[in-house]
Amino acid sequence: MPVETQTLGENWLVVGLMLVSAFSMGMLLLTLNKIMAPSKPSAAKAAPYESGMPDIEPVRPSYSPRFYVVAMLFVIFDIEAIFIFPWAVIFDELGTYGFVEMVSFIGLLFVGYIYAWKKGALEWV
Amino acid sequence: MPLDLNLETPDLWLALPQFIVFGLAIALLFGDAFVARTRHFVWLTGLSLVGYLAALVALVGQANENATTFYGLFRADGLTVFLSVIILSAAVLTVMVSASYVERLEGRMPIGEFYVLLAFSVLGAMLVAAAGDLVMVFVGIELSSLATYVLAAFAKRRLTSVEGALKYFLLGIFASAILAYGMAWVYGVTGSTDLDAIARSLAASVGGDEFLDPALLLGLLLLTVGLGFKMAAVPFHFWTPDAYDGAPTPVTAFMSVVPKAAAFAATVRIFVQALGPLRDEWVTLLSVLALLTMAFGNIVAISQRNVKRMLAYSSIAHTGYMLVGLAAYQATGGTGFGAGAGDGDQGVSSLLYYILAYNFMNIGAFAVVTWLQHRGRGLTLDDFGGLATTHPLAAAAMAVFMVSLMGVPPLIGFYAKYYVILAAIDADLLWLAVAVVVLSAVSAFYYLRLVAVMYFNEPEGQPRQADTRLLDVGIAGMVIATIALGLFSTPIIDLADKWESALTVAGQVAGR
Repeated sequence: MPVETQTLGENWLVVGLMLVSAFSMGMLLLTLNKIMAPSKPSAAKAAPYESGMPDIEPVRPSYSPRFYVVAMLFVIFDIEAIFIFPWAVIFDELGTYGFVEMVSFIGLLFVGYIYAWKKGALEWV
Repeated sequence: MPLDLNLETPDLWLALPQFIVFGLAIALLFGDAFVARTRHFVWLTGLSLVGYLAALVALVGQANENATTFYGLFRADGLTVFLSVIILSAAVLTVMVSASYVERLEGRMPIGEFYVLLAFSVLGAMLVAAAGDLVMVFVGIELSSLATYVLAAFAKRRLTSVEGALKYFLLGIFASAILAYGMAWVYGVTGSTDLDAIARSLAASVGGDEFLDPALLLGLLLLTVGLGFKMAAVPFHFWTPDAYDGAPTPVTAFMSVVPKAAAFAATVRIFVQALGPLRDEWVTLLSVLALLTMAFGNIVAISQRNVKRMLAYSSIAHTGYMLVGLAAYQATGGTGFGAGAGDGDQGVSSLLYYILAYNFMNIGAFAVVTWLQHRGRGLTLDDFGGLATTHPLAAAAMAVFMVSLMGVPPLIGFYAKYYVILAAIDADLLWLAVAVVVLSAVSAFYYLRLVAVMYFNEPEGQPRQADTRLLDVGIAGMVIATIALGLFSTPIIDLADKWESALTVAGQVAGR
């Protein structure tokens, strides 16, 4: 396969061309859309789709962040399970070293769990 | 098919300082949860100080080491040691500056959580400094950044703090994404995430003017943008003033040094160690960035009336000076500033010395601002009026830090700029050296204006009394360091020259 020879300057030119063409393509499409597309806004168009419900209260209600804490704890243990599965499959090949690694990994998660427990993240009020 | 897993036990002792900081973070976590709230201030402050100092002592074990462990992820070499010294001393100073602030001002923030986040941020920065792999660089930067985002929002009852932290967070994760994208391109072209393997692969393909993949240059560009955000270089600096102004003052002190040091650590690791063969490409990029950053930071700082914002723009300007040091990297190898000056590669050594100098004078300046906040003064220039009559010692300390940031001999800031200029001239970047000198003269305006306000204006209002012993000791220590480390800069620059052991593999293969 013949190897193309290019100078470093030409390489920058390629990168620059790519950036310029990507930018101008995006701008061109957006501008064309703005110019050519008909735009006749009306109240009916701005309303929710016919099968949707009109808003009866503000769409950003206040909610308890406690929900997030529990969700985050769930994710942590989910990740733990994901890591333990492949480890369990090749447990024999990994030997003692793999066992120690996994014990320290679970130990660290356990530290986080104790902290969250002590700080009251698991209490539903 | 049986797997061929060759798992050797990593050399855990090699990473002892990093493990100490990690243990400290866990210990602080338990301390926060199980020690009574009334004892947090004394116990956890003491534990933090002891932990960071123990890690500093343990660094002695890494000195003169040039080894890698954890399958190439972790490197202990001259660069690791020097940057870890900077990061750990910044951590000690931050604890001294922040203890009383977190405990008493802004409605008694939870000090235990503050120290835990601080320890994780310090650990992340140390891991970047010791990284031998792109993945490790990224994980370290993320660990450091995520903790710093929370620290920036620590005064959660003050809206400016939350606003600044949100901007910092959004732009920070955006930058992380760009950085990861750049790493992906580099990995795609070279086929490895190991820094030395990347250098080897590039040295084989780049020699002379042969074919060079444009994809690699795109990766380089993305990496520059991502790291530029993290180090607050113009034009990627937009988060800096708001985040620095909003964050609690001791956090600002920390943010202006440790994440910046981590970003420069990542830049040296990636650009010099892995992408060293592409030196001609990135030196051009970085010298343009350096000029823009210096000029913008210094000129905009002039119009600031808020001292914290002024220091934020000044820190942008200092990023520019540091970038000059990096742009002066010549890939010639050699002895640095040590024996037979003038023929070695001085760029990275001057950068490292600059970060060390910046650490002491910048945290010092923010420490004096914190000191005044304890005594009921605000953050505007007028609040510093007549400081010399009411608090002569604080005014003298602030004057030392300002004059050092400006770069006046015999203070540490002068030697930092001196080495950077020397390196730039040696690398034939005369225009950058001239820019450093001219823009330092511009910076004299706003640094000296603060000094003039302190010494020549009349004081207004009655100062409040406050007992901040740890902070006083910290400021005194930083004043001494600012004066002494400049006068005795030779051993430090010799230590900085040892960064070159990071280059062993790349240097041998590239035949440099």
